[in-house]
Amino acid sequence: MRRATLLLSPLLVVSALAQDPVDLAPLKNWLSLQKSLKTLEADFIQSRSLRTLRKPITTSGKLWFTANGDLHWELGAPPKTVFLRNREGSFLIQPVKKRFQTLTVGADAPTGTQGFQMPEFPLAADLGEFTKRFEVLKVEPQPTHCDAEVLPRDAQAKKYLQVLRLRFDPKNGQLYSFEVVGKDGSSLKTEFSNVRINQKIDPSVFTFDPNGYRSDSEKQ
Amino acid sequence: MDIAPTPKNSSRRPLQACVAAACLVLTLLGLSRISFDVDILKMLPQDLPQVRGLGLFLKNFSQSDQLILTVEAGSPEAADQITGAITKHLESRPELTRLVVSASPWESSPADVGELAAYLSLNSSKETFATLHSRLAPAQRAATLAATLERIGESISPQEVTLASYDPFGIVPSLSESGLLSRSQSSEFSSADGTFRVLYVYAPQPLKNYKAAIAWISAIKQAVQEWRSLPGVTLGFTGEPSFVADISGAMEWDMTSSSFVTLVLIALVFLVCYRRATPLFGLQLMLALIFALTLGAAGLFLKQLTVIAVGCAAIMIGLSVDYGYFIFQRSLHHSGTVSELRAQCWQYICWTAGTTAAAFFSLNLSSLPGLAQLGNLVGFGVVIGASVMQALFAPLALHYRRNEPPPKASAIERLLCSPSFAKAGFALTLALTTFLLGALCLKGFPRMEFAPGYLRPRHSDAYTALERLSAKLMDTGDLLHLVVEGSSEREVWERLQKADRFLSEAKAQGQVASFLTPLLFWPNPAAQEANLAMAGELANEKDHLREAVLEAGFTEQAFGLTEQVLAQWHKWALRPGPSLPLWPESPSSQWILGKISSRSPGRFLAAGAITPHPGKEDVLIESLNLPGTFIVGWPQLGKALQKVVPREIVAIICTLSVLVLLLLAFALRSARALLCFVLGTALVFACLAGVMSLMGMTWNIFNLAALLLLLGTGTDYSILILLSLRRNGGDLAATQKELFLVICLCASSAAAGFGTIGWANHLGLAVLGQTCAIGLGLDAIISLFLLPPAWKALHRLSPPARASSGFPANA
Repeated sequence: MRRATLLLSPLLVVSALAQDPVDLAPLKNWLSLQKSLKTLEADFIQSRSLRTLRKPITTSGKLWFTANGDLHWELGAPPKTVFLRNREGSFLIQPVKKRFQTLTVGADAPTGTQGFQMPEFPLAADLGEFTKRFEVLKVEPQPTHCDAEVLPRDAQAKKYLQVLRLRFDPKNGQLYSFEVVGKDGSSLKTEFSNVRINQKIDPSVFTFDPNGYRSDSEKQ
Repeated sequence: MDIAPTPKNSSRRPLQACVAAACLVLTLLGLSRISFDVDILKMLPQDLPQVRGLGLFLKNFSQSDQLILTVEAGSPEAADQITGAITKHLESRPELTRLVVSASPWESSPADVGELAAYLSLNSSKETFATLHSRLAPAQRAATLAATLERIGESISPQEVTLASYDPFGIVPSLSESGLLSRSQSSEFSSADGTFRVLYVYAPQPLKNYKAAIAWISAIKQAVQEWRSLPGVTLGFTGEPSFVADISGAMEWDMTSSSFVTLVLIALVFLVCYRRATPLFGLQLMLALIFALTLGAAGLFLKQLTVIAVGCAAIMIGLSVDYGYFIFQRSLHHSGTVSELRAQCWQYICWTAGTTAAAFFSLNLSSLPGLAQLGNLVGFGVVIGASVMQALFAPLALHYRRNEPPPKASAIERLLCSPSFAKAGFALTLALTTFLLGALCLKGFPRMEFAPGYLRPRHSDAYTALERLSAKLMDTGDLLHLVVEGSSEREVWERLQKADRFLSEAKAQGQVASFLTPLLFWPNPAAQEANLAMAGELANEKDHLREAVLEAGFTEQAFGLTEQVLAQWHKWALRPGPSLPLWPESPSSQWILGKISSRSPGRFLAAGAITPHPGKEDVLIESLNLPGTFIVGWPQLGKALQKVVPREIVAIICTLSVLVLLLLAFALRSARALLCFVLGTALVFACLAGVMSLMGMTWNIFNLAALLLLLGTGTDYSILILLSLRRNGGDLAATQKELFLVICLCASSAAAGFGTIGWANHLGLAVLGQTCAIGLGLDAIISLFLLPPAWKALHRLSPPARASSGFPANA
């Protein structure tokens, strides 16, 4: 058995080499354009197609982002759920219920969206960091955009995800949509529109006044 | 008893034969019962809460037939592949394993989740279940489902979305609240980065003893050898059977190797000094007999030998041989009968064996069972050794003496008896003691260190693998274990509630960062009783609930978990006269419960975990005052021992010192001689402290006990010298001729006995051996070279009164 495997292995290597390598140039271009991103403001529609739902649930939302890491991501109109990240930490706020959770505290607290259903901005500083975090399965350039399918290299994430799909414009650096597909076939797709890059953003968007809010116990 | 047969001797022979036969049978019986107790906590004071709590935790929550096999590879893909291959291979060998678990059981048996979810819900408080019941009421269920849909649409937590979509009625929200589904990226099966994986391998049948554990582990290692030899791949073996195999194997090796080496060293020393092989053979035979008799006695009266007690063999050999040396040396110049030889040696052996045995038996005053066992073993061994040497070796020695021409003094003997040797020895010893005292003054007294590392083997693959596992799988630093015991489920539940409140308060006060108690899983008999009827009612509504779920826009898949829960409630509600409390029974539930609970008739235990804020552990433990509740950890054990043991050892040293001084006062009957003894002993201890300071050694639980042993064994040399000086009227040359060779032989054999356990695998035992060997060496040279001049100087200052010998002329 072992001998058969040894005989087969060169064939496997050869067959792997024979496949067309994925062209990462569009990804590289798109990521390099992210470097010039100072601020980002966009609307989005998030569709949640779950195996347990007969029809997808669609929710609108907004996002604001600055290059120093501040992020404001809200779902619903009026907003029902807000993820806020600023120098003081990360917070999950429910404006209608007047409740909030402190997720991390301090400017030195680990950043990142901590597994929440939103992409990072930018996804990576460059292609090297991107390929370190993600395995690129497919990149398909189209006339007006480019589609990519990637899988996180993180073992835990890989356990539950089938694929991450990105639709972006390698010419202007815009991200059109971001889709997370779970192993059970459920998907969460976020489609961005009305994207404004490097515009001035009111700083109050990234501040949170907990007065009048009830704090839930900290979740870690 | 003379050697030549006489009618009297002939009549005693049948009796002697019977006694010998009885001893042989009892010894063989005892030897067959010897087994090793690898529970290192058994060596420690059992009334300390840390010892008791850790003992409960280790005994009840570590599985004796579960081997933890770790796989570490360069990439998560490689780790995954190797883990899968090993699992498959071991599963195909039923003679090696009955079960291999490499992933959460519920991943391969999702149906088990239903039973667990049903149990958790049923076990929740009456108020919580009543709220659930009202949420599922016909008038309310549509609104409940609509709220779930809203949550699915609004939440940004994938965990919340998934749970809500598969549990539209929110029957088991407690799973997410329990902290079990924490943000932790690692699990008990894999590190966060996936390069470290864990398999739990179960033995096909219970492992009866340490030999079975060693054999099974070896077979497993052989079975996975193919993967062990892969480059970049590391396999680790830990868990209870692995500890048993490691520690027992090391104990066996330590015992046999130290005994063997001690015998070899004794033989070499004897040959160099006396250049005679036949008496050496007889002496070694006596030592082997003493060892067998003592170990046989141990097997009869003790259940198991602890790690420390295995050191007794070498120590006992090293001490018992002293009596043989003395008898042999005496026999070289003895011209009388065996009885007279015995009578001459009797008092010497009586005093020395008496003080040595007293020192070792005094270890029973300690609250350390391990040391007490060592003390009893060596104490009995010394008494047996003295008896065997007197009874059997004395006639043998005389027989050798009569059958061989009188030996000429060896070069060693001539050297040891020469005045220049005594002068040189004095100068060197004075210089050495001055140096060591200076070192002590400069470097200070050795500090105390009661780290739990001294309880462990020096080299243990099982411990190394466990440390690696903890480092890779634990998100946080040092955890403390919560252990709650009780005589019934209800009692444990009530105590868990109090513990939960205590820890919540401690968290609010900043002592605790987080904690996890098994309160969620522990059966709440009152709640189950109250909830079971309502659960049965809900189970009967299954079809209506399904309709409502589908109408709300969910699919059949969304009702799957709810259906399982309802079916389980139905089953429990229908049980004829259900015996409460209920425990979940599926394999997945058993997997979880095995980690947090232990049940036996009349005894129930629960375990939890606490992450304290650094530096707050002691305050947390000291403020705990709940019955049947323990917060324990290995570093805390060290601290608890540090508070208790030194005080105890000092008390025992004081007691023993008084006893020894009283014995010596009777024996020496001279205040000046007693003063010499006290000063000499103090100097030995001070120099020992100096050596320890120089070598960076610290005082710990084991080598503090060495002080006791030195008080009993090392003082023999001073006693001999002082007795001899008294007998010889202060004639240093006569004392030198009489005793220097014997003391050198005794000191070297005792140092060999202790020194050979200095390389024992058990760190505590090794430190004990090293300290004793150093101490005995210092005691010997101070007794030989400094004590006689000191005695002479004291007697020059004021001449002694006429001494009464009280000893035979040749003694």
